[in-house]
This record gives sequence, structure tokens and C-alpha cells, in this order.
Amino acid sequence: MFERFTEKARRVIFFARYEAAVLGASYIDHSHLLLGLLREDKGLFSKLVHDNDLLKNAAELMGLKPSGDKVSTSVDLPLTTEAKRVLVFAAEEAESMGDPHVGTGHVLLGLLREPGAARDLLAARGLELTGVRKVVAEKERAPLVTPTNRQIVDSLRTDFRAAMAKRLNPELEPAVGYSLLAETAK
Amino acid sequence: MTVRELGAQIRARKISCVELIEETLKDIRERDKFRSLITVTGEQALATARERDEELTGGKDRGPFHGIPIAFKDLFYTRGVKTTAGSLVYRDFVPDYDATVVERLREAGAISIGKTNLHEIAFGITSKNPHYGFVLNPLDPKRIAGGSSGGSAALVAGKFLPMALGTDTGGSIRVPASYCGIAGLKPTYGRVSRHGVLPLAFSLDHVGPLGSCVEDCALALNAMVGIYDYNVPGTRTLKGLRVGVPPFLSQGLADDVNVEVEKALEQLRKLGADVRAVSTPDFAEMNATARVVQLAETAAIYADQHDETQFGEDVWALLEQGRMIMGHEYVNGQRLRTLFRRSFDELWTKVDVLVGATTPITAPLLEQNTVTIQGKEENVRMASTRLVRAINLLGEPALSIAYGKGSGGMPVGLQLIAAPFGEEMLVRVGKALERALN
Repeated sequence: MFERFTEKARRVIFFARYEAAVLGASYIDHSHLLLGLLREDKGLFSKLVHDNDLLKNAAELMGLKPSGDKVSTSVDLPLTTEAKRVLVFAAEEAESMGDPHVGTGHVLLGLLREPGAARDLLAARGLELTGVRKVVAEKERAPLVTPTNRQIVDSLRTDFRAAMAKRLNPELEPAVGYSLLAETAK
Repeated sequence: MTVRELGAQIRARKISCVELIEETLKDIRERDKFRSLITVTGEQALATARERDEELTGGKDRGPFHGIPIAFKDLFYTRGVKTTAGSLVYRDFVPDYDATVVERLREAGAISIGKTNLHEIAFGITSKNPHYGFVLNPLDPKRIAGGSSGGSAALVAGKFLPMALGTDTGGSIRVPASYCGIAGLKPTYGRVSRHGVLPLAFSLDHVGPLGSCVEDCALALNAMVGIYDYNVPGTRTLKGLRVGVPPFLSQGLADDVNVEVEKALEQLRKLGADVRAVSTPDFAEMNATARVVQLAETAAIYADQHDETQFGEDVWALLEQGRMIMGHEYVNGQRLRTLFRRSFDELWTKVDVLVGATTPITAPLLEQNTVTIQGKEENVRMASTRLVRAINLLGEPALSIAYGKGSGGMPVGLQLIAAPFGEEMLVRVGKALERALN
């Protein structure tokens, strides 16, 4: 699933694993992903939050405490279901922006879509989905799809699909498109 | 003054080509507060005018446009003269050749005085251009001139020139013609060359004239297709003409527009035409299809543009919407288009011309984003293109003429549509109506 992830986004997962190991966890949770993201892409957060508290004390703010011994870096740690969902959401966000790659910004959007300590902490700092989407779209240089545009296109689709349902019959009109393309190619 | 009237003065030696250009440039300097032009090419125009005067003295007459000042929408390539498309993207673009129609009109003797303002990249109908200024309506500067060929319409309506060139992808010639009270002709798809004209949507773009009267448009069309001397058909009777009135072009109009459309239909009956209601495919369906096709084609043209800061808010939103149209939707749009085409081919066996309004309203105020028509609120852009956009999908020729005045004293636009390559039919009916009106 990670083939579409950018190098930076992959490093977020690497650092998440590191954070989980340091804290003695036997799995990688979404809160570890946030710690990994904070470590990998400070620039992203500098655009979104104006205090250093988040960057410095995120683990503490999410109530994460070291439990037991540090886990060896050679041990494979699994992703929790929540953490996996965050990554799926991230891929979805990239797709809806027409971006072929999943970047760190998309991972942040994934975190904002999954309920839990990471999202609560981000929400307390004023980060919400719509606002962050705009910043991410700009950062990734992908087209910005605002709700208004989506509404306009959805409404256009309703009219267009009605016309299609009424008029297009694949059995009766198999070659219609081809003759037209030939006409317009002239 | 019309092309013919100006031409008669030149040939009677009442005014030289140079004097006419000098006067036109002075008039524009003093009176054009409508932001009609992005670039004025005064020196070049005067040099050409000198040549045209010498030609006349030597006995060479290029025809109706000899020495006539005209202007081109700033989408037309002009060699050595910047061509901005009303955008920041093309602000420094200087083409190294002329569009075919620029060449043709020059060959026909016309003299370009500059490049007209437009809705940014021609994608919109208000001509509220954030980079080069909002084009104002010369009949009432508190109102929009319409668009996207707003500057061309303003120059003609302000009586600076008899004819200016525009393009029409979803109504961009007919809408400003309607709002400014002049004539505007969208010829049959493909009839006039688009070579050297910046595209907006490949299969919907049309090049055509905006003129002070129907004949000016007809003369311009002839010049563009290479006919330099031609008697435009006119007639005092329309006996036997089969006029179809589709409900979509005659219903849902503002009251003041409706009154004038009814008067026009009555006039056509008086001239001997057989006026009857006809059914056509639903314009709302054709408009939706045209929007799907246009959004996708424009998004394809601007696929490499990722910098939002280079575009006005409205145009950027439309480009984004275009990126959301799926491949299968575009293909199905083209399939639907063929079915609509077939319905109209059938219709043309029953009628010669379709008549209705060009726009359901007269020119809106600059600050207006919505209008209320028959109790229903509509977006200005959607309302303005509701009666014209479908015709671009079909490719039929369509003419808008000024017919009467609405409640605020603003002109009403009447739209005539004919079968493919039926421009002469449109000119004939349009001229008959103009004559009856005067």
C-alpha cells in the first residue's frame, strides 16, 4: 500500500515506529503517526499552528507515557486498525485532490479524519479538515477542490445524468461517440 | 455609422482613410471610459491607412472594408502585438504570426486599431476582468457589457467602430451583443478559421463578428471566408418562411424581454412568415451536456496551470471544476451531443429558422451576481447563457439582433438560429426585422 507514498510520507511511518519503540509500545498507533509527522515535517505545522507546544510536548499532551522497556528497533511493530485507517484516509485525500502521490499533508488530513487523541490534540490547536485541506492542496500544488466547486459539479452531474438516463442506450447507439469524434476532428 | 456608410464617405473623398483612423483614435482617447481596449495600435493603424489611401488614389478598391477601422478581441494572434487573452498567463505573449481571420480582414482592407478587453481567457460572460479592468456597458456604465467579447461589443455599442471581432464558446458573441444592443453572429462551427485564435474549448469555439447592424456582420463573415465584394441579401417580405418558436427560447423570460419577443413574432407574421411553436430537445439537458464538454476541454487546455494566483477567482473555480469532470462523462457528453444533433437535423426539415430571446434579461448591474426571473433566483452567468449555450453544442449558426427596449431602457436581444451553413437565412430574416423596426 505504500508504493504511492512519497519519501517523506514513508519516513513519517519510520519515525512513528521509532516513537512507538521509545515509548515501549508493542504496536504503532495513530498517536505515534502524529509524533512521526511532527518529527518529519515541521514546516507543515509552522503554517498551521503558532505555538511550539505541539512540536515539543505532543506525546505528553496526548497522554503518552513510556511504559516498560524500550523496544528493540529490530522488532517488527504492527500498525493498529486506527493507524491503518489514517493511512487509507491519507490516500483518499490525495486521490480527491487529483494528486498521484500521498504526501505528509495527506497524512495529516488522514489523522484529522480518525477520532482519537491525535485528532483531539490537533483540533484543540484549531486545525480542522476544511482549512487544512486548503493549505495542503497549495503545498502539494494539487488542484484545490473547494466544497463550492464540488457542489457545482455535483449539481451539474445530476442534470447530466438525467439526460444520459433518458437518452443513451448502449445497445441502440454503440458507435455514436465515434462518429462524433470523427466529425469534430475535421 | 455602418461599414457601408463609412465606406461611402471614403469613396466620395469626404474623409480619407488616415483621417478616419485619426478621428477614431481621438474619439477612443476622449470618450472610451468603458475599458474596451487592452492594447491600442495607433501607429500601425495609421501606417496601414496611408497605404489604403494610396491604393484608392491608384484605383485599387479592396471592397466594403477598405479603410474601415475594426478591432480584435485579445485572443486573436497579431504579429508583433501582444495577445493577453485578458490574463496574466499571457500578459507578455507576442505572437509571431497573424490569425487567419486577422490576415483575411486586412486583405479585405479593414484596419485594426487594437485588441479588445474580454472576460479572462474568454471563460465567463461578465467581462469583469480583474487584471485589465471591468468592461462597462456604453449604454449604461453601471451595467455589464456582457462577455466574453465585452470590449468588442462596447466599442461597437459606443459607436467607436462599426465592427469588431469576437469568439463564442457558450454565448460569448451573442450575450454581449444582446446586452449592448448590437448585432452579433456566431457562424456555423468550422465555417470561419480558428487558426491563430487562443482556444477555450476546441469543439465549441466559434469566431464571429459583432456589428452595428446585421449587414456589418454579414460583410465581416464574407470577408473572413474570402468573399470581398458581395451584396448581402435583403428582403421586404418573408412570405413562406417557416419560423419555429421553441418553448425553451420563449418561456422563462423576464416580462420586459417577453414583450419584445412577442412583438418580434408578430412582426414576422406581418412580413408573411408562418410562425409556429415547435418542440426541441430540452435546452437544460443540452446546456448540461455543453457544460460537461466545455469544462473538460478547457481543463485540458489549461492542464499545466497550477498557480492559483495567476487567475481571477471565478476562472480558477471553473478550471478546478473542469479537472473534476471524468473521462467517461466527457465521452458520454459527446455521445449525447450526436443525439441532439440528429434531433435538430430532423427539425430543420420542418422549419427554416428558430426564433426566441438571446438572453432572458437585459444587461444586469455590475454588482449583481443573481437575478430573479419569474420569481426564481438564478445566477447571472447561468441565466445569461441559458438560451445560447446549447447552440454551441450543436454548431448551428445563430444571430443576435437588438429588438426593442426593456424596462430600464436597456436593449433586448432577439436570437435567430438556422440550420448548419444557413447564415444567409439568418441575415435575410435579421435584416427584414431591422428594417421593420426602423
